[in-house]
Amino acid sequence: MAAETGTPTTLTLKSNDDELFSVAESAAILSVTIRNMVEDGCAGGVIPLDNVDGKTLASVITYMNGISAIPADEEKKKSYRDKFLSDKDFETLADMVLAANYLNMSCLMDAVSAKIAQVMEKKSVGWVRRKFGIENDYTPEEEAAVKEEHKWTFEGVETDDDN
Amino acid sequence: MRDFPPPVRQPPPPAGHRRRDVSLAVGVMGPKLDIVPTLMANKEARNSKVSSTTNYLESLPEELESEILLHLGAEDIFKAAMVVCRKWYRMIHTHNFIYSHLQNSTPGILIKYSAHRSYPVFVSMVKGKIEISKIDYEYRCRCWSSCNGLTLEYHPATSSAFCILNPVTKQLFELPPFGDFDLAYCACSGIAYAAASMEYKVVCISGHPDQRTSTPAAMLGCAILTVGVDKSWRRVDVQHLSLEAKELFKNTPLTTEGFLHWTSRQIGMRRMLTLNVETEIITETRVPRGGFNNRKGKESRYYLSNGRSLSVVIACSEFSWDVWELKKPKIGEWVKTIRIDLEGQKSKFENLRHKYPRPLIIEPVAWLNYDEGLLVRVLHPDNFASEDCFVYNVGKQEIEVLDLTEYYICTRFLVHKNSLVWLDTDTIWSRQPDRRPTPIRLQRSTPALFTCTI
Repeated sequence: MAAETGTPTTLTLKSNDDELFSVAESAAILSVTIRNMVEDGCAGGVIPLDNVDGKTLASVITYMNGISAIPADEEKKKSYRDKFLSDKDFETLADMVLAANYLNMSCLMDAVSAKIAQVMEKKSVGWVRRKFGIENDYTPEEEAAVKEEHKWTFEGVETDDDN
Repeated sequence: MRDFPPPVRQPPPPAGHRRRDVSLAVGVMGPKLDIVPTLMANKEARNSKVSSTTNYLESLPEELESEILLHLGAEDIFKAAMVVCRKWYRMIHTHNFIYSHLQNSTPGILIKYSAHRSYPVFVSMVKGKIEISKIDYEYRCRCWSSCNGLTLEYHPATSSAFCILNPVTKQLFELPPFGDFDLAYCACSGIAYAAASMEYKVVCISGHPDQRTSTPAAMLGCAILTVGVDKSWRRVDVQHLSLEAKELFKNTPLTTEGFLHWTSRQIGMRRMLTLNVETEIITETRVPRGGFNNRKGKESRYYLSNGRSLSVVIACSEFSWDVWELKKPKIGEWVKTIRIDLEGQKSKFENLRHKYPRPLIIEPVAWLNYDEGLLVRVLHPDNFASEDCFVYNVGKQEIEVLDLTEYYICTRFLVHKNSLVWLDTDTIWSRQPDRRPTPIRLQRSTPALFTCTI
């Protein structure tokens, strides 16, 4: 394995739109997928990442380099993640969730998921539907029944139990 | 819409995100609505309708969408996300989602005025910041126990039996009456979760029918009920316990993962009782030494649960404490974990001197997300009333004032998580069709913390 030679090793990653990226192995192995490839000795040439496009991969590599440069200090890593994600739009965040999942990077996955969830905090149903472009596929009766679950049951109210 | 490749080549999710198959779990939160994805709207029609906004979330595999929803608080999920669409409703109503969400959510403290009925507030520490929210249920608080977001309470309609309720999802399950079993102290009851059998168990203390709260310790017994399974309360073996240890049954038990603990601050009490809710065996173990007389016959040692494990905070001086954690509940092995020293921050308490004559009695009352924050309050040495609460930030080793006075003079504290957990009522009802709960009248709730406009 290249890492055992003691010299910094560089890996070449290829996105699904054929862009090539060089990244230090020590940073790239934040991805469990890449680490497994390296450990299995499959990382000699170019590592193809078929599920990640060039734009997203560039972002992920920026993150890999940034976070691996921070020593073991969870507070600083957290503030780096916050800063890194602060200017990303929804489309980028959705792409990064997919990439983080494919690359098996749990820290990035958690941070991006939390960032998307944060947008929904304390928002109304209508707001969430509009913001994310989700169509209401409930019938009015069903929606009323779902909302009914928000109340404590009161005497005399029929429940939807089937028997 | 972006066309993403199918997730065939995706690696297995990392350990922390692993999920079990959840095919049959729909209806975990209550079978009020039978939603199956058969009527999913036509995709093209939907796309044309929402052309102005791109639906990035729906382009994600369902597993990743659910990953995102896991980061929302229980209130947000229950009040908004669940109502957004059928798919989200279905994803949220699975055992797997609910328990992953429970693992993900930050524990906090329910704080309540000790008056008979009142609405508690929920205080939590998220990323070092204190958040206070109101709870939408008026607790009577004769018993005060919480486990995985479920709380134990007297039944609001009958007041003769216990019920389990989730203040977020507003579900309530009535437990069987006590029958020939005489409840000695309702405050000494507790709820805990047996993870291996995936069952909730409720425990209470029985006494002599004529004496109730004045029942001598020798005559106290312990009864247990597996929620949704047992139709009547079962006795737990207490024959092997010493008389001294049985005195502990007069205290409110603390819930940890898989255990209930009875402890006491009586001077010289060096024992505790631990009930393993899986095996239903009570063991008597020793507790760490230390602490001094805090007047009124109590020792300055404070047993606190953090939801997971039990700890005892023992005063070394007016402004410093040792924290011990019960590492092995079965054999009673304690390990000293941290030292809290506020000698250097005495000045922050100085403005309280006019209200409280020396010495100040500073009492740790509950963990806020264990290892992150400890809630402490200052007691008046004469009447033990308290109006001032502080949070000790374990990481920064600093204290800050927690302003709760607009809510209450708070006197009762309980470690709690806001969760979506509910009893698997389908299973319960298939086993016990005669115990299916009937609609009941509950106290009108206060306005919710935030309202959803739809």
